Amino acid sequence: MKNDLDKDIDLSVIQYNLSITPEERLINHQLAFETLQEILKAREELYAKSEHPTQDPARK
Amino acid sequence: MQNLNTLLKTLLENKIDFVLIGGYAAVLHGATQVTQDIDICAVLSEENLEKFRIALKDYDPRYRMNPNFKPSLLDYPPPNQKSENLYLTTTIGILDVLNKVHPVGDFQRINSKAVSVNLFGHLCKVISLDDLIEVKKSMTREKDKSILKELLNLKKN
Repeated sequence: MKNDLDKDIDLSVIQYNLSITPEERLINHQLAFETLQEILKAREELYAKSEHPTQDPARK
Repeated sequence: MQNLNTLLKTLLENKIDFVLIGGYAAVLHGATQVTQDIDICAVLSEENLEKFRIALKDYDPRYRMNPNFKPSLLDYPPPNQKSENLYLTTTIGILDVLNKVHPVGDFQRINSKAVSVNLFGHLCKVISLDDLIEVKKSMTREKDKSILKELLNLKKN
């Protein structure tokens, strides 16, 4: 059973991060960052085209 | 394209004396969250300010906090005017430079416990895990609470 500290955390990802070098962590982070930027850009385009722009959950 | 690693490399290549803090430091310690900026702690002396200007001159560094006043770092502040913190946007990413980190302390204090990590051929000073945990404990955003959980887990490992 998970204790409070482990709740809501994917320990396998943390274990993986600890198995690689700090520089590799930053390189992986950059890839995730670029993906996130693409998602945010797509969201902006999606809601800019929508007839209901206020439906963007992030703008509520 | 924004590239936080290029931004970090630029600061390291220009031999600016700083300690990496915030979410990027958490990533270096092993946290899994994605952060969208680089936060560092540094003394904002005239000499250091000039180093920031030289390092960032090709990346259009601008103040970003006041929508009605976004001067270039290359022109502002004028000589002899002190700056406490820099909240900048550049073409390669967002950079915040703080001279103090609540509740831990100023650059000297953060620097005294910092750890050095080899990154991209340079030694980079990173806020200690214990100090970063203290900083995150003092923050109230959900994102910070989530990072705090990961940092506490990392301390256990």
